[in-house]
Amino acid sequence: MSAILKTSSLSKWFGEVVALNGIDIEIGVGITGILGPNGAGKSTLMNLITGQLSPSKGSLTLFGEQIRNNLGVLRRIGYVPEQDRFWDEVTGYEFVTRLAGLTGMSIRDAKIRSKRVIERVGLADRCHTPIGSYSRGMRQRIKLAQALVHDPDLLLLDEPLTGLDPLGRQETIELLRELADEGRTIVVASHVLHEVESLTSEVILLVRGRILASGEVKSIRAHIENFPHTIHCRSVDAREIGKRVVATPGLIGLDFDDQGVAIKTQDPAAVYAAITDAVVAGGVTLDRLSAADDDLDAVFKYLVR
Amino acid sequence: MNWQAYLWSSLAAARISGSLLVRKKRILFLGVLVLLPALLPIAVAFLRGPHDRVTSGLELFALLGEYGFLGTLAPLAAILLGTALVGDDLEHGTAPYLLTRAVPRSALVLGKFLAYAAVASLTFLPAMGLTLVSVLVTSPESIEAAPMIRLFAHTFGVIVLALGVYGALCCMLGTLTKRPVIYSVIFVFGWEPLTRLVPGYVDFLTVKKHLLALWPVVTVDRIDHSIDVTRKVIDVGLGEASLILALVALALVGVTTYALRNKEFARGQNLA
Repeated sequence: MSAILKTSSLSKWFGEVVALNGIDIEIGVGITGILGPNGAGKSTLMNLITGQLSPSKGSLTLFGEQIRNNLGVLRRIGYVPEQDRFWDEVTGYEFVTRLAGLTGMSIRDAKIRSKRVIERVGLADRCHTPIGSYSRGMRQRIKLAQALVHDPDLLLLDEPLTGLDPLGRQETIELLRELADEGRTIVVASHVLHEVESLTSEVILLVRGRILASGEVKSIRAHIENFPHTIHCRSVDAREIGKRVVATPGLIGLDFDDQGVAIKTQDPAAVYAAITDAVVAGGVTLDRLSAADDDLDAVFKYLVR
Repeated sequence: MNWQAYLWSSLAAARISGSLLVRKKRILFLGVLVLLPALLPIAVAFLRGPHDRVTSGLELFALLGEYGFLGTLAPLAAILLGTALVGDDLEHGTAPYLLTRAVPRSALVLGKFLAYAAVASLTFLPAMGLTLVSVLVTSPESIEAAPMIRLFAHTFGVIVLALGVYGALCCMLGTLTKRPVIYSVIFVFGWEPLTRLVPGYVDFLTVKKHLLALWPVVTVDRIDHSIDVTRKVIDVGLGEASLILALVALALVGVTTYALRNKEFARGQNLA
């Protein structure tokens, strides 16, 4: 498979802060996920790929060419930034049409393509209202529309599913899969493993500016599954909760403190089920239950050690 | 990119900037400000005593233009609108939509600049027209239409040039710095008046000097009563002034383009 995007010892620093350190990656056709916690360097990598930044060291090529100020390459990229920033007074239609015109399209062509791509992302009925009135999901979709309007070969999405409701996520995932089936290369940066996993089997794991792992999601998931999950329960009935979960499969340990209990387990689903049963049956009150992102950071720490 | 595509790109950039400029609150504020000179002739006529020296209509319009539109309002318009042309996109995080597209940076800057020039000029045109009407209505003597129209066209042309040059300066400052309004105010309302106090050619390093050379009513010898100093103004030729202003505007737009090409913008913000 010939690489669309290739980096060689790519590094980027801002003063004393090293955002990326010696990155070597090759990305080809299909969907590739770049997974990493906040501050891992995902957005810096995206900014380098889109030509907004120059490498401090090493090289980065797209379609075999340097990126920065290369109009031929930029024409083939569509970028969906993470920031939720718009010209709020402008309608979705104006937003997409005018950005389309920037690439040298005539007004007529820009209008035709914009209409087509807005329909594709499912915003045809709201495209003539100001973006300031849009929901989070609609704003993500209009961002996607502006990235697609010039029919790019490579689509770069920085945290595209953040803030979306479950229906919005599903619709976006399906759309991205369709776009990949059309032969586009799609790169998705995210800090949520299961979101990346729902899109692709190829993942690059980025932590503190370095590539930690790359390859099939299954192999990375296997690392994570071997790692004990920690579930924090804040409750005055912490001891009672401990009694209810002690017999769940995969339990590793219980750690009580003044506020509740930290449950370490390799089977979080069984623990959640036991806690739910305890709350429903009565006799146990639960103030707060937390896991997920905390665990993800812990996973990264685990893989780093 | 061929010239047609380049033109479409510039036009698209102009349309984006133009539609944003006209929707900003500051354009409303500017629109009110530029109407103020129209009130002065009315005030003068109202307050004038029977034995007061009467200023001719032409002289009054030229004075209002020089001290009002040219000296204060045009630079203010440039500061309000010009600094925001690129600066607002960088500050508000919308720059990635522009900078990650296959658009020549020069087309982007040119389009934005032309949008600013059009919006600013169209804001000043009715205000200056209204001031002219106000002067005509309150003028104690009758004024022929032809010289008045010529004067109006001349002064409006210089105002458009002023908006262009000051606008290019403010746009460049908006691209290069994080506090463009402050630097613009320092230049226009600090540096430029200060140079008039310094003997010699220092005031040639201002935009105003060259604009005043193009202004229709210019006196060669001017005595500045407020500081009790007699200062001979060193003249600059019409052709020279026009050329310098055009070159300065071009250079400033060039610097802005160069900055957009070569500076780094992470998350659409100036890393400088």
